[in-house]
Amino acid sequence: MGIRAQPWLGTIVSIRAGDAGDKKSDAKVHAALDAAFAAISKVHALMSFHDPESELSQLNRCAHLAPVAVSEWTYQVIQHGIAIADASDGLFDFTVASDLVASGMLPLPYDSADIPKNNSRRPSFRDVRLRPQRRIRFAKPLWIDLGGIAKGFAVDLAVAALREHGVEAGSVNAGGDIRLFGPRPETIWVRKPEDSHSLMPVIELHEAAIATSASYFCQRPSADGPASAIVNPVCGRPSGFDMSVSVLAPDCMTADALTKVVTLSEDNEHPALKHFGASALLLRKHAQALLQ
Amino acid sequence: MKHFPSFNQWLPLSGIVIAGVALPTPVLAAEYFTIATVQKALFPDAQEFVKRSVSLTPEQRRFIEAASPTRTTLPDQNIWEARKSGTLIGYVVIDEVYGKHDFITYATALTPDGAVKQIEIMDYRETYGYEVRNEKWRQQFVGKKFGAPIKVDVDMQNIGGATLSCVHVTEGVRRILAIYHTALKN
Repeated sequence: MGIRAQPWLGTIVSIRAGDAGDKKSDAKVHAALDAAFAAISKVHALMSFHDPESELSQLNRCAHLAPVAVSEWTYQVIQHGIAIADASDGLFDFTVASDLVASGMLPLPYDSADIPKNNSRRPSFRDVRLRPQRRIRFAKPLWIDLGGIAKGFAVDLAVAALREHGVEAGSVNAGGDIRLFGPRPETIWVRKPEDSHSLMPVIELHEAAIATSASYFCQRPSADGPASAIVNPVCGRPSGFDMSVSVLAPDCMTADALTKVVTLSEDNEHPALKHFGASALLLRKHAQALLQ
Repeated sequence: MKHFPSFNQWLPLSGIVIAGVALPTPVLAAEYFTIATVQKALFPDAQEFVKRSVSLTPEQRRFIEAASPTRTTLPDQNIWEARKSGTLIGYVVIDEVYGKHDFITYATALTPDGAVKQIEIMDYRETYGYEVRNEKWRQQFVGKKFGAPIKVDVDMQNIGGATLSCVHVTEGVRRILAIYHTALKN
């Protein structure tokens, strides 16, 4: 069993190849881990909002002027993001980036960036158009931030890389977004919303993913009151306080994106969950949990 | 053969918090590498790791601190040259960073010309904020970090929910690059 952790995607990503009880660790295991981290690193490079050289930054600079061709991975994430936005009637919407910058949750992507200005209605995911040959076009100036979905996607790719290298059991944990594979289920714990140092077991996970979203570490004051990484796309206001949301889904990209839908709707039975074969757990501070 | 209850179902939640009742508060920590194992992992081809002593002038210190002003201690005493057949093939720098909630030891591999080749977390532990500022509290981990097992109550790999930001590690690496530019580059 080999387990290592590296800083990526704004958090710590820890990857385990092999079963927890398996002591043997060899060159094959470390080669698999290297490949898994390489996949995470590639997602980071393609989709970083803060890196002016990333594919995402290219889109944010130019896609409202002309279609921009992107790599397979970036196209896949944007395509799936649109599907989730559609199924959630826009509750998940990766075009909230300019609100996040305005509230201070995200810095300007790079020094020369100007927040996109629109005289008409706020942009939405419907302004992001998929074109053939992996091209993306924006119908108006807008910014995409894939922070609410790319982490889950990176986890899925890391698992795929481990499997490609012959690893039969393992897990990836990227800042609390987890995917587990192999024959043995494992208990997953989350923190109580009112006390991040107290843990509670929530599920026996098996060959699936679970993403958890809560504001206990993220709350940051801004001029308009507390800020949060989760912003309601309809009104641009921050949301997600006083609760912890966990979503179980077959893949981590889906689980990650759906946490935003459940948080904003405060509905642990939102129809988008069923649409993607997912379910949710919503924990409120100091109150009884709502269960699916 | 062990029979597993239904998996992928949310567990019934009761008022009992396992961590709070059975244990004072869980130690949330993980250890991945010791100094010796991380050096080997970063430079598998190296034949030796030679400690590089660096003494910084006040001006060099100011330059480095400007690269990352939030910390007061520098990892200038934890630098090794990785060598193969006597030739320098890179550097290993071990640093520790701490923030409001976390305490992380990590190792950075630099190429001979100062590019970051790889970063591995060696260990991390979550804190309650107030402890980490206490020098004496930090001292209890000095021997434990490198080699001795850290008692862990819950496998960190299985904890869901946003945990650590790597912002302090990123700042630490900026500082390490500044050290390279002032003191290591030939």
